[in-house]
Amino acid sequence: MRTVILRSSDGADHIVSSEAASLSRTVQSLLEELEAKEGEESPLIVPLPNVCDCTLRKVLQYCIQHTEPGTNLTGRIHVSETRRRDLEVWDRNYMLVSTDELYHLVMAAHYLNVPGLLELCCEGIANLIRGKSPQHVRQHFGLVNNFEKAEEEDIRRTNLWALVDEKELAKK
Amino acid sequence: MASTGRHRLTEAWAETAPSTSKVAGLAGQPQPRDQQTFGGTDVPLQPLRHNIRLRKNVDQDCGGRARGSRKRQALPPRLKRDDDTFSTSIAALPSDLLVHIFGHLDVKAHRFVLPLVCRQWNDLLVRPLALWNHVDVDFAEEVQTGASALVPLLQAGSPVTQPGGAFAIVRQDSITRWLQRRASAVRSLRLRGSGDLEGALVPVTDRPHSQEYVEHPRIHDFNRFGLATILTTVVVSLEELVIERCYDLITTAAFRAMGGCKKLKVLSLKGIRSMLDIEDFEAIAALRQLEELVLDCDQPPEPEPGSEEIKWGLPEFPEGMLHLVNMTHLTLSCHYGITELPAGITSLNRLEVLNLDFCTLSALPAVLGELTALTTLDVEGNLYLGDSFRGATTPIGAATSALAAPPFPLDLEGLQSLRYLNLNSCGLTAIPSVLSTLRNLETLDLEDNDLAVSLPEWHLSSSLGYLSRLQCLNLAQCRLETVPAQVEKLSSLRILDLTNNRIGNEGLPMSLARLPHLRAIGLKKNALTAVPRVLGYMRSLQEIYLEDNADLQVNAPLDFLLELPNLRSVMIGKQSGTWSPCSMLYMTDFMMKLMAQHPTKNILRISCPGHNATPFDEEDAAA
Repeated sequence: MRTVILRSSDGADHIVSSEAASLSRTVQSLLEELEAKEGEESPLIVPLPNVCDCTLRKVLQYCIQHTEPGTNLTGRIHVSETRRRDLEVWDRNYMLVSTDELYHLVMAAHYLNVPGLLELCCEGIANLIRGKSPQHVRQHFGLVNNFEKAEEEDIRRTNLWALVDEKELAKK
Repeated sequence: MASTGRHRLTEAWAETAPSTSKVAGLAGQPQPRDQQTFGGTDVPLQPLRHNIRLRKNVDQDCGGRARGSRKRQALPPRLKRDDDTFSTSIAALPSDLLVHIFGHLDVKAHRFVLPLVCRQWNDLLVRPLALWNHVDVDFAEEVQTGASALVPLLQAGSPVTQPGGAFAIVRQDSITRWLQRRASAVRSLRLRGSGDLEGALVPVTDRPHSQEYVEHPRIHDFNRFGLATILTTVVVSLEELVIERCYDLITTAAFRAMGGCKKLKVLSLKGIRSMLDIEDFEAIAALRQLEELVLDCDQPPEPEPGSEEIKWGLPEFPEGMLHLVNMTHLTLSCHYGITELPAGITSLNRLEVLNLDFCTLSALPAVLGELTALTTLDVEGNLYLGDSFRGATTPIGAATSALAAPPFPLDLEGLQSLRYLNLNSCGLTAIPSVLSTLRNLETLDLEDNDLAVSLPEWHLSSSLGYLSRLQCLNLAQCRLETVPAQVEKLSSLRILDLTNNRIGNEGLPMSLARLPHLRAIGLKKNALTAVPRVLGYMRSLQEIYLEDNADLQVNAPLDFLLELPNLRSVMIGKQSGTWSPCSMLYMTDFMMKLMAQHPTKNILRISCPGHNATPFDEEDAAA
């Protein structure tokens, strides 16, 4: 198994198997380019200027875990049932990060194009939104309500497909 | 496994030690400035500016983010989960990522929560996003949402706490306006009406103690162009249209609009309650891309005695249908006008599913065998279909005489892909011999056909024996007195349903024990007088149904059933008639032995008059 060096934005190098690195489609295509240019033998160094060291480390944890023997490159096809369940548990624990880290992670997964990780992070953020009212969402993420009162009411109404007959209501 | 990962990482980490120190050196310096920016008191008041700064960091200067994380480590853990830092983050996410995150939430959140969070999110959500690929309009649900949305409104002005007799109705223009901006993303549209709600009596909700009921008004304000208007907004992109229980929306104008949706691949109209015009159908016939067409009518209302023949659904099999050559699935349910299929149906040679249940077919076309892709054929409830098979049931020996030549030379030999055939209630008087060519058939449903017409045994079942892949055979309600002899040759049979026949103890031959895979046997409502011994020899048997055999008594020990290794359930009991004391004794004995054998399983279930399908109880038996 060939190893490659991934260099983070702040110049830290990480040595990983090309198998794990190829979970990132961005890295995979960069690797293919490099290989074509430099030949099979020279060490492959992939600079990743958009990912900082600490996030890259976390991303690689995921990549390594998901390329352990028994997983194939394309993801989780042909994986035994127990292995799949183990991975699910691992993923859940892996997601126990601060919201701040989660944000960095989702950006990195997006840039590196690691489909599985991206889904995992998006689900993580969606879980923070799920079941909350608009006010709670704003509160949780520190967003500011920048609607006019009338505008808010208007948006609420345009998203309703069934409305109460105003005339009938006036009668009551 | 996790530890290996960590181990390999630390190794990698050690090898790159020089560069880490470089990072530390870099990070140390600008830290004070960092704290000033991120920790400053003015930050929460100006989230947008902050936001822009962070985005800049992400795009150009990633060192900034590394410093950010250093800062986090330096601060006490209490401040680590500072919502402020993340607040700027979620607002700074690129919109495609935000949409991806929204995609993990349900449609209620998309419509009633997310747009109300902030203007940026609302602006994003009115765009034609992938989120709107499937739009589902459930009228009953919308009416409820609309009414409950009223509650805060009322509370503000009036003392009424619940919307009392005020009902929300689905607005045609609300839906149209909503769809307009998102139209190019809408691939699939589903409208689900609720015919039951209209005119139903509902309690007046604002007076909880009163017994008053009001009639539920119309649930929508669609005129006869309503559906057409909606369809025109999404005409460019629509690929799938499903309309259920909205019989009042399906008008000539609506059909024309459907004909305009040239990309339509799936068109499904369920719960039609009227006649359909052939001219209306012509519009659909123009949809050459169509792969699945469902025109499903409800059962027509009971005709008044002495009135004329009911007209319901399509008046005939439309010629235009034959142009839809890409179709793989065609369902025409309950069309009283469809009495025959044109020979031209062979042009639909990609058809995999053909469902013509409850039509009034009098014959299947001779060319049916040319639809070689068919896997499912359902002609349930075509009461007059039996006649067309009768010619074909003539045995080969008799066919040599010219007089007996079958009037419908139905040849099904081409249907080698057919897995499922439903001939339920087709007026058959024998199992048609043409079926013998369907070598790959897995399910055959012959329920409710009068197979008991006194014919020689060979006539009754000559074709069955060839169906070597048959797994499910339904012969319920066929007035059988014996199991057709050839059933024993169905070596793949798993389920045999003989419910509601007249099978006595002699009707169940010992030879049935030869079925090696039989898992379930249904003998409910027959004329059995004892539990058949043959059951004990069916090694794979898991479920036995013996309910409602009025004269059934257990006059001998049931020990032969104990031998069955996979037995899971024995249903025995009756609604009428009583058990003899001897039967009670043997059943108790059987139950004790079962409990000793499988202490965890509750296999024997007995229903007595008044005790419907309750587990057999020892005390009951003793009493």
